[in-house]
Amino acid sequence: MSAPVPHLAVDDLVAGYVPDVPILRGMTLSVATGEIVTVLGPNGAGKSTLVKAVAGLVPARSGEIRVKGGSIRGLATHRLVAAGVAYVPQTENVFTRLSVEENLELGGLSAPAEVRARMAEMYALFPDLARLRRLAAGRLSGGQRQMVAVARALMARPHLIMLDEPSAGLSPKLTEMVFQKLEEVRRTGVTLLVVEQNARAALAISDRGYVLAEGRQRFTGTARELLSSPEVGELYLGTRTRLAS
Amino acid sequence: MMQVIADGLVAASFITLGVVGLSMIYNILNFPTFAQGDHIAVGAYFALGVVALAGTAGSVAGLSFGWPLILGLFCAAVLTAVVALALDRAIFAQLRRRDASRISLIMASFGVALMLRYMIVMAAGHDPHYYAFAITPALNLGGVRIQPNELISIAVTVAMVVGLHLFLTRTWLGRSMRAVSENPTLARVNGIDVGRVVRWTWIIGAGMAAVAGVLLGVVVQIHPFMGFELLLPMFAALIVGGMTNIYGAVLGAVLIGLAEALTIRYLAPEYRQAVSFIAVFVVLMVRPQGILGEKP
Repeated sequence: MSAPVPHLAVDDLVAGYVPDVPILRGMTLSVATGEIVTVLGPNGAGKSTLVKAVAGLVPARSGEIRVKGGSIRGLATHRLVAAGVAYVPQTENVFTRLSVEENLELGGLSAPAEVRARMAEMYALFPDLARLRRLAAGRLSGGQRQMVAVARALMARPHLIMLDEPSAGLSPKLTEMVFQKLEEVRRTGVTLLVVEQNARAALAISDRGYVLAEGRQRFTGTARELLSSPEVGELYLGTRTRLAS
Repeated sequence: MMQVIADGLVAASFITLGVVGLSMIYNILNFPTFAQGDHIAVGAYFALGVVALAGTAGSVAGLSFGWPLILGLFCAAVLTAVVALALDRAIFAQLRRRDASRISLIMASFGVALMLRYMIVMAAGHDPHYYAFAITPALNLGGVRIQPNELISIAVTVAMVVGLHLFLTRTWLGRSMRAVSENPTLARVNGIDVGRVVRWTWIIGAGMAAVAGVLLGVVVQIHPFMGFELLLPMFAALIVGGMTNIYGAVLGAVLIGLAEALTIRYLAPEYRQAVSFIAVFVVLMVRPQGILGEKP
């Protein structure tokens, strides 16, 4: 019996903003359908570059990127939505001058006929946004913006969503709320790839994780394995303390 | 005073139609094009060509022009948009592909402006032209004397600004334009084809400039430097109203138009251009981002 095709497969990927200066130096990763997979690593490890390369925002110099078995390497970023892949950047991830509702409408650009129905689903998933829908997104708090960014990405009914540091700049309470919502998103049948600095919070909701260092995969394993690994703890905390401890 | 306001609104109508495109191009392509003034002149001359071919053919509703100029207006908008698209493809798109700096794009737009201006001179000469020589009596609206042609200029401008507002807020393409103007990367991630948005920006910006050119030609006269002369008030309106806000640009155009009319009425017509500089100076001192602009 052949192995199931991964939902997202990144194979020996070399990518960087400038030719001959790779940030990712042969990254391999796979995400199965319905999984939450977290990518961890210190600053400058290449975590954000990985999702940006998948999203077509950073040129892939060699290697392969496949979604459900089909190559998306070199695909123009604006065609990614049609391929069922959504990406939520770390910063500037909402249109601040547009209202919450307009942000969501733009997210549903690929299927205008479904926008109203989809928006109602988003307001059910993120009830706070219904109350704030007429407000310019620039006036929202960090947590609320993150909700808008995730909801906007979900408007196009993606089957895979990639999030770059969804907890960046958020308080521990808001971080917990964001990750709770991501678990809810997974329950709607969406596969998630999450890049995070907050290893404990991210691994708490993840099935598996990858630890990057210097553009390559350093460790991989289930969330439980990574949380209890002294090596991963050392990479993060500078001591051989387990993240789970 | 009402007469000054009316005169100011007439001046503002030409500035508005030019500056709206300038603002859109600035916000979406990230550079102010100095060719926008010459799009105005190109539009005026395209319409002149249509009128020359079709004839002036009487007048419509007491205006100094007939149906050929109305046909010419539409042809001018379409042909000027085609010229702007071709120039974008030949010049600006090449520079964007090479990640050219903003100053390179601005200098290229200077070159395009000069090229367009002197192509008009080569084709039609330096002498001024008129769409029609018919003299229409001024209307008296409660003591305010205004030419029917001037009134139609204000009406067309108001209709186009309202139409543009509805376009930007109610249509997918309009919302996509607002999205690209704020954050092109996030727009791409959202599935917006930025290249398509750029093309429509040139079409709308150059099309509106062409309408400004035809109206200016109807009210004043047509000459190769007509757009260049409007460039300073357009830039003043953009800076006064706020570079990042299209509605700010409209507000800026109205203020500059009114300031020009006040200058002509109470000082001397020669100082008209200076008022744009003074308005820019005052706004930059008090509120550098412009009246409705956002702080960088």
